[in-house]
Amino acid sequence: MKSYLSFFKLRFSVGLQYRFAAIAGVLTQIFWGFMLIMIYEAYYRAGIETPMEWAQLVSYVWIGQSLFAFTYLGYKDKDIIESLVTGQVSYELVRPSNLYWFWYIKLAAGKLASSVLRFIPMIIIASLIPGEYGLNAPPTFTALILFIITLLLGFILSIAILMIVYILLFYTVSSRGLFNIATVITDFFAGGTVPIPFMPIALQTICYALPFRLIMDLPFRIYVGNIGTTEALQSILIQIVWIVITTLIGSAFINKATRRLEVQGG
Amino acid sequence: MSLYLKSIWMKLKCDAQYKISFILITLSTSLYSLVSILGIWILLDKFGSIDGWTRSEVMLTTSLALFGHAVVEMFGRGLDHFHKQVNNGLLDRILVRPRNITLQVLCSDFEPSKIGRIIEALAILIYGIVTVNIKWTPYKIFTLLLMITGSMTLFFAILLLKASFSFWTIEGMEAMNIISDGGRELSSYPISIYSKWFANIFTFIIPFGCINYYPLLYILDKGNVPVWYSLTPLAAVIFLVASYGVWTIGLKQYKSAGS
Repeated sequence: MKSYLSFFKLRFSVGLQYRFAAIAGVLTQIFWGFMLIMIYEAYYRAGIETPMEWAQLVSYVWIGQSLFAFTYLGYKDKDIIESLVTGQVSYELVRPSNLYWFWYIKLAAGKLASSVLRFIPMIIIASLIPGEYGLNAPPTFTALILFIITLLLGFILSIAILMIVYILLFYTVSSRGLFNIATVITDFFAGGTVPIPFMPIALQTICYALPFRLIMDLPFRIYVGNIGTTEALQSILIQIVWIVITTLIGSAFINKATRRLEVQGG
Repeated sequence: MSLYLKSIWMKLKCDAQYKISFILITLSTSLYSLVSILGIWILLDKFGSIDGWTRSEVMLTTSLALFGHAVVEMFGRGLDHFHKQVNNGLLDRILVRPRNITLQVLCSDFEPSKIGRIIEALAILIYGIVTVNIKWTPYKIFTLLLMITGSMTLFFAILLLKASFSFWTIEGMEAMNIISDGGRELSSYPISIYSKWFANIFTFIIPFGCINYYPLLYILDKGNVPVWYSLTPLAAVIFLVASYGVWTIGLKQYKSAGS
């Protein structure tokens, strides 16, 4: 356990080195946020009934942009991908620690580090934006607590899902293609392209059947007050079930994948 | 030109060696833009229209933004990775060869996997043209061709500008992607939906609005605009001249990073 903890610390501080990338990320997210809000504003001008109030939607956009790196399922760890291509992974298999948790920690720490640098400035900037374009506080204190719980559980779930994608990379040399396909599909069903309440009913049903919305859609909509306490509490249970399922799949899968691993060359 | 075609052919032959990989990458880039089109489609389905533009009309603006971007991503890959060539000294090798430098940089890479995006852009362009009721005249067809050319010109100019910056800095090139990716995304919608100041920036400084919105007003007979609106895609040429200027200045003052 101690070795995993120190490994986490190490990866976290490595991740913190990329300040320049973080600044570029924040700028991108602010631009994107403003653009999305202006697009929705134009839609809302039509005055038809909407599944989210304006203030809720604006907060949804900003919280989504602020937590982009934290919730986005396309986090790429160059080391892991490279270790699979070069065969370096065989050294890791020799080490006396479980490869599943080793990677898990690596992904979690890297993702956390890259998001902390973006999250804090983003939240500050977004709340400073005046009037009806800025980030609002959650409606109640309960909503805030439930938001934090579901967000963290969603993060754990996102790493477990990401792990399955990484293990799939054992079977292909085309990491880029497979990885990007997985990212696009999961992001869409998580509500990353369009908030789920705006989708047609049939699509919403699919989104609810899949685990991905528990990572973005659920915590964000709890934060803005679009999902009430009862539904939030039920969803926490669903999150836990999915975490168990995906972790079991991932660790069973990695054993199967490593058993038939062949390293080419000497 | 024959040199360029030859280098493309070589790259194609290379990629063909990894069939599954190539198919997966093509699928993934196509899926990415398909989802963003789907997002626009879903919202227009929900709201009916945006700022008086119907779904078919918005598909026209979207297709023009996507088309130019995809074509330039396909053929301009070398410029996109130019900062790497500056960084690893490959540029010095290019400079000593007795050939056009810009051409050589363009020859250095080619990305056939963007073909999926180009097809998607053409598909929604055709969808738009078929479903919108346009009173076609020969001049309107000319305007449409002008828009398509303008879209490619503008995205190429932005790429050239991005590459030029690597003469001064090779860090933070991601930030430059805001302009090309952001530009594609924002000009997917008619530029008029945005706040005045925002629309002005992307009309007069980086003329995204000029490649689809203004000429479309003319083609669709919206709001009785004067005929010269059909010529606004030419603004992309002005932008290209400007970024080519920056590129030449950069090349002239370039000093190699050493051994």
